[in-house]
Amino acid sequence: MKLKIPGSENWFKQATKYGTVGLEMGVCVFLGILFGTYLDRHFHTSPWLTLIFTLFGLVAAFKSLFRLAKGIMREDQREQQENRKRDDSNT
Amino acid sequence: MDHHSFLYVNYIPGLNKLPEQVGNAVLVFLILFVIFLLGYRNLKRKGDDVVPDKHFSILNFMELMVEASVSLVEENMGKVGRTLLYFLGPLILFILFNNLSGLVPGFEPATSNLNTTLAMALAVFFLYQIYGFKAHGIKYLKHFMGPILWLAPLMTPIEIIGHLARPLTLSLRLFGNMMGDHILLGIVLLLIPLLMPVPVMVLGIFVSVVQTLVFVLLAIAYFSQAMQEEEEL
Repeated sequence: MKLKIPGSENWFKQATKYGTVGLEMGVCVFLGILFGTYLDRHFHTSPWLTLIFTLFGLVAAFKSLFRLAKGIMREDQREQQENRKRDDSNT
Repeated sequence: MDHHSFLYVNYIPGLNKLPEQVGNAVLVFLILFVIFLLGYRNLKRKGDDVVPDKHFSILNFMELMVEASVSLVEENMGKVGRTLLYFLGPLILFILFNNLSGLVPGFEPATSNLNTTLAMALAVFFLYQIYGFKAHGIKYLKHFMGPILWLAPLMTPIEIIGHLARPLTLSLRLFGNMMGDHILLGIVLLLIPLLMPVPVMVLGIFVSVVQTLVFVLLAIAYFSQAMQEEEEL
């Protein structure tokens, strides 16, 4: 018997994938600020490393968003190709 | 939350000295152990019988759980996932049973404590790094350098932040959902004890299952990303 579990359905997998990006973006910025303040306290270079690492965190956040968007695009392309193949075989 | 509430753990000698979440985790582990011990004994007794039991038995339950986790891992990772099943299968069972134990009065689910979820997320984090190194050797470090070589000093801290955010998001998501669910159930039980907790409990079951699947699906995604070739931009 082939079990049907909710995780194997496509929409659910996509929902989990897209739902996670919000928290990940926030945590990325938070981690950047955390590293920045820690390094600033260590090296006594007050605002600079915090600013730089905040930017790093922001870029990391947008990189996770970008990675997700790329995944969506790749899936779309695959779907289109499959549709085209189906159309070709029909005609 | 409420540290004076009734908990089974406080009445079990040996476990009541431990912190609450550890005691509950051990208790859930023992329950799981008993369930699977009984199922295993049935399995041995039956031998290679293909015909399923007439009624829903503990063996059916065991087979259901095992097959669900096998299919979950294999559909997302392919045959490589089989080796990961020794890690992910117990993780699925542990998270699911801990989440569901929050609905039983007298249990404080271990997953509604950040220590437990962070421990599991860190285990996932270190293990997927190890698997990445196993799959690629020292070339795995290229994953941290970004796509263009002369941008590597700029991209490395960004990638490291992105990787470190993963265990944090994993643990925070599970912890937040279970904690929120537990507190909501407690408050509703306090305010309107008549009939009103039932829909909240249904919601609790839903949240428990979904959060288990989310945790495991994300862990699988991290594993497969680490084992893939480096991504092109």
